[in-house]
Amino acid sequence: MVFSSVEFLTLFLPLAALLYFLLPVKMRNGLLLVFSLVFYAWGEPVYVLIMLGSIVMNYLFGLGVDRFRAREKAKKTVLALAVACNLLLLGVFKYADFMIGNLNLIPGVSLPAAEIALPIGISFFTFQAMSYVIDVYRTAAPAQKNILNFGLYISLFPQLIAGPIVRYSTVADQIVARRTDLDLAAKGIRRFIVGLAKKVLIANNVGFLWSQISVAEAPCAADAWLGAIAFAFQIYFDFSGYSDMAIGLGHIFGFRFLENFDYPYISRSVTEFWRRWHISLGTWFREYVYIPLGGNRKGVAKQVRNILIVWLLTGLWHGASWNFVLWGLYYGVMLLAEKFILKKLLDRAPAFVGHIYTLLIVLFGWVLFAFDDTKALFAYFAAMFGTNGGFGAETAYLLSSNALTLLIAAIASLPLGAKLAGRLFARAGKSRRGGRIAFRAAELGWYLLLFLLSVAYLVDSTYNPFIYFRF
Amino acid sequence: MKNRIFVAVFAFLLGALCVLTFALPKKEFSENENRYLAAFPKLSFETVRDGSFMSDISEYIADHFVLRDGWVTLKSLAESALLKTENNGVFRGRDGYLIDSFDESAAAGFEKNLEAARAFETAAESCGIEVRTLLAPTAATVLKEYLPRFAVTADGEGLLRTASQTLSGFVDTLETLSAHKDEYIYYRTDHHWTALGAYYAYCAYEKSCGREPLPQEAFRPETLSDTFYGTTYSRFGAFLGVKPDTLCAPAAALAAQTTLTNGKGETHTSIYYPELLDGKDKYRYFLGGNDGILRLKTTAETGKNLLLIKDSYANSFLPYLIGDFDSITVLDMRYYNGAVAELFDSEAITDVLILYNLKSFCEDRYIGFINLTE
Repeated sequence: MVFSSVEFLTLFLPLAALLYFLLPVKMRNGLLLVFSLVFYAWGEPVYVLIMLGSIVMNYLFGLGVDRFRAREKAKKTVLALAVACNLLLLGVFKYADFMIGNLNLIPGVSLPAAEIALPIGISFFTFQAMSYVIDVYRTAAPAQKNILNFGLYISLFPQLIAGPIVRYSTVADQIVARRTDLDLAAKGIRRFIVGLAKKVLIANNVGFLWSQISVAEAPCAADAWLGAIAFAFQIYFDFSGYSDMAIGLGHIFGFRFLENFDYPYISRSVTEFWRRWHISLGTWFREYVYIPLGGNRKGVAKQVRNILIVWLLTGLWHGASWNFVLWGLYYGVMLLAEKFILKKLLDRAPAFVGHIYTLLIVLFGWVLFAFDDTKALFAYFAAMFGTNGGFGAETAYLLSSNALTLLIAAIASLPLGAKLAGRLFARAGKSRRGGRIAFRAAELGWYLLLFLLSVAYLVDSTYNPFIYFRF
Repeated sequence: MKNRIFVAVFAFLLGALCVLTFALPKKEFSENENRYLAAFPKLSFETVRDGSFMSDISEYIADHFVLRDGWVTLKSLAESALLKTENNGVFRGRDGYLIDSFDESAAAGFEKNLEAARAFETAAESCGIEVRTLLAPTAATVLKEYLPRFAVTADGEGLLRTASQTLSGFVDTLETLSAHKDEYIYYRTDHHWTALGAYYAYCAYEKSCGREPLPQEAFRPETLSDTFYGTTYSRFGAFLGVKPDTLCAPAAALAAQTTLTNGKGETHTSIYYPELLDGKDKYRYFLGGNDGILRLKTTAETGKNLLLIKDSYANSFLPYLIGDFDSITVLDMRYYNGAVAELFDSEAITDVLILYNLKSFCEDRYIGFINLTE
């Protein structure tokens, strides 16, 4: 199931919330676990078994690591086994056909495709599972003795299928004991509605524009740029909207997840962009790959190697296809270039240079990301540089009917709205009672508007894709 | 404290959406959208395992969502506010025209179907039967200047030109319809042509057969309803500020002695169905909708029998033909699954007319079944 669907809003969420707050505290984790499994099984009725298997397996690994906490070697063996098993799971269900396809390129090799469908969210929950075993190994958190609690950590529906990737050490305490209160719930509802609106009102609309342009046979340069911009907005609003919904839902049930996006498109360098984009994934790789490899503490050569490894894996994590590998390495190289050369130049240049440079690099990155067919990828790049002419028959129509949507997307990519709301809130706080009530009413009206419009777009939805099925 | 109202409002809203969507009585058929709504899916191990139960329930909820039409309108208004001129494949054009879009992807099946029509024409003419093919341009082609600014459509003129070069019995209607484009020849809220548009096409058809068309007055056009909201209205979803259409039909066909027999053998003494004027889809007044096969007997005594292979555009065209043929066999290939060749003998066919609107001719997947050689 996904949050941006009528069945989630009219069936799943009301039932889950109602029962959650009716039940005594002791039974709430059990309830959330059941709902989470249903949530997953809704989209993957068979693959839910894989998730259950992963829960049992990693629960046992956690206990194993804990049992051998005094015996370094045995502890390490269990950890290695745990990581190997999780990677194997990922390898079979996500990368099997990619590997077979590449092996078949070797002359004389001809293996049949495994044709295994990718279980939704497997990259997210497998990474969470590994985070658990590693955190227990590092004694960053105690092992979870209760399998229901552990199952809840792996399957918790708010962040189950599109993140954020929650590291075990950051929520270990919250799983056992957390407080729900009205203010946190209100915060959660606001956050959820903002995320829903980002996904349904902005991402789906600009995504539709991208879907029109990306299938065009020979788009002109203007269309190709428009398409790339639309895709950049789609993936940001879709993904960050999903994270907002996850964080908001978490709040309603008393969880406090870490932030996942921080206005990435205002960055002045690629390095900054990746500090603001999909933060939980970057943190995961830093904590569990980059630093264990030695990070930057073992000389420049090793550091370069480590950065390239991390970005190769980051690329591969996004999908089993060469364009994602290329996309990851592209960023690895850009980050290295910034670290050793460009940073000084960017620091001295006026701000707008950094902004434009970053946006261009990111935009080309998204084109790389969007096409897993190399031929189509190069054709699209060529189109951006005018091989099919500058303007086409449809340009004026596409531009005129999407200009306002794109403008709204651009404004919503900036922290302006949040700043304005913060300022109004501060002023309302200082004003008399009437002012405070007016502020509250306006706020309620704004969120009602976003919610009702989102529902309207869902009920009459023509285009509502789930774009992380490859992650 | 200060958040109490906020939380209460949304908790109430969500609860209300849930309860009302599931508890309110359900409609089986949507008059407005002219289609059957999804039924509650069957719950079984199989349907859950393959996920069809889940996807069906999603459709069920969307179809029976409380105040569905209101949400559809709200979305349509928001799209208009975003300066979008298209919603669900319908353009909001000038002068209240809601025009069914016709884009390149819709035109993709044109060549295959044209080849089927060509093969049919050759085969039928070798049996001594004259074939005419009338592909009616839709409003997106004829009413180009009524489309919103910059709107893009497939090259309807080009497709029709290709058809006229391919088929020896092609009937050109683009010229005459374009000449009358500022008259009321297409409904503003429906994807069909009006009785007047069909009349101009009739004139072109008669001339191509070497007959003199009767003047329009001879058919005595009569207004039957001025509250017709058609298919493009439903799809566009803006239920505010759109004027309804006027439905007209040639009354002369009422006076003519006709018998209409459907595939099940049921007979009807008129080609019109006045009782359907009370429903939403008033276009069904003509022929009562689309049947697989209809047999119409007239008292024209011309010695000619027509086989009409058609889509719904022909329904309002047929009344003009009653004086020209002793019998008209009407085939809708979407619903007819018998062999076409057998009808040539059993109905003593002398003429064939293939009549589709250009868009459905491109999109139809059943035209290939007119094949005579198999």
